[in-house]
Amino acid sequence: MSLLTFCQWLQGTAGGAAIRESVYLYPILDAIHVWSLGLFLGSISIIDLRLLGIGLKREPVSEVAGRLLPWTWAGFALMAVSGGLVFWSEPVKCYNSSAFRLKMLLMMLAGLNALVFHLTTYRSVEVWDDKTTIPARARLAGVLSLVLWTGVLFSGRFVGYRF
Amino acid sequence: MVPFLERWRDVWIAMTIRDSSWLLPAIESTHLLGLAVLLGSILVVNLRFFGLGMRRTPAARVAEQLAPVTLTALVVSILSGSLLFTTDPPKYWCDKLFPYKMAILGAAILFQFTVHRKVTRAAEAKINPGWGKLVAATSLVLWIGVAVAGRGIGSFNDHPGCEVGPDVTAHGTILKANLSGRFGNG
Repeated sequence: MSLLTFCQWLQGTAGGAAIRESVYLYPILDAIHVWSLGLFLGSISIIDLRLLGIGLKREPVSEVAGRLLPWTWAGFALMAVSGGLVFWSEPVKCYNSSAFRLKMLLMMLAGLNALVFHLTTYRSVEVWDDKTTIPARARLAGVLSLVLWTGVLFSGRFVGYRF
Repeated sequence: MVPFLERWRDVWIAMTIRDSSWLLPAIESTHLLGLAVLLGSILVVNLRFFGLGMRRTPAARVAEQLAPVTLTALVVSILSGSLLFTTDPPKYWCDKLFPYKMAILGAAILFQFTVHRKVTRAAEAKINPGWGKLVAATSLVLWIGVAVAGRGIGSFNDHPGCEVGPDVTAHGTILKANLSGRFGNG
């Protein structure tokens, strides 16, 4: 089964149709998806900014990341569920949208960046935890995270404009 | 008021944004980015008063360090929001939710830079925990109110008694394009 065939099948399911044709559910899911940005992007950006020596720079990196990452994950879960349900209602439109494809690509890159950072650079966090100026690799991970997630936000907004 | 605002539709910056296929979503995205960082930074300060988030760091220390982040994000949100308003002033003027959003925004900003600033920056021993919680909760309610009212703009634009001139009807396609954009998924 090709990806397009899968999207066509998904679009035809009762659940997808129910969301698509509902008066309130679609705009509510859409709004939850946008509001959750404050939790997800808001908290992850404070962690990323800490890596760049901006914001909570007097606190250890591990303290900022440790205390705020659960909130980032909660925001991500809300975004994934609401976004997944919105996708369910219009998978063919998403399949045909260049902006949506770019969004998925940028999300994978953002996830990969976070994974690489936690498996490599972050392992030596005790060494640079309290420093305002931290290793270049950690700063690079922070910049990449901010740029990639901002890219996800922009490409997501462009899907609604038929890009 | 509306005829006056309609003239603003012809200002070059408004026409440039409307004539572009990508400027409007780009400015909207910038507005959302500013809002996310704004809400995130305020949330982290407020959570502290409920013993959540950065709970091992003194509240005043969290508030003081995040203040420049909050202020920068607020400036980005206001500038991008003003550009969005410029694209179609009569549309926003006639929107039922727009005046509410502006009122809540005004209250939120006022509260943020007076009571909230004073309480969050004070030494912990000097603040009654109950009072701290009340201030943090009020701040959260106000800013979430701004986001909720803001998201609704574009959905309720049949303001009773709002005289929409023929110019706006002539530009009806633009209005509809904006509305479908707001309801597209992201």
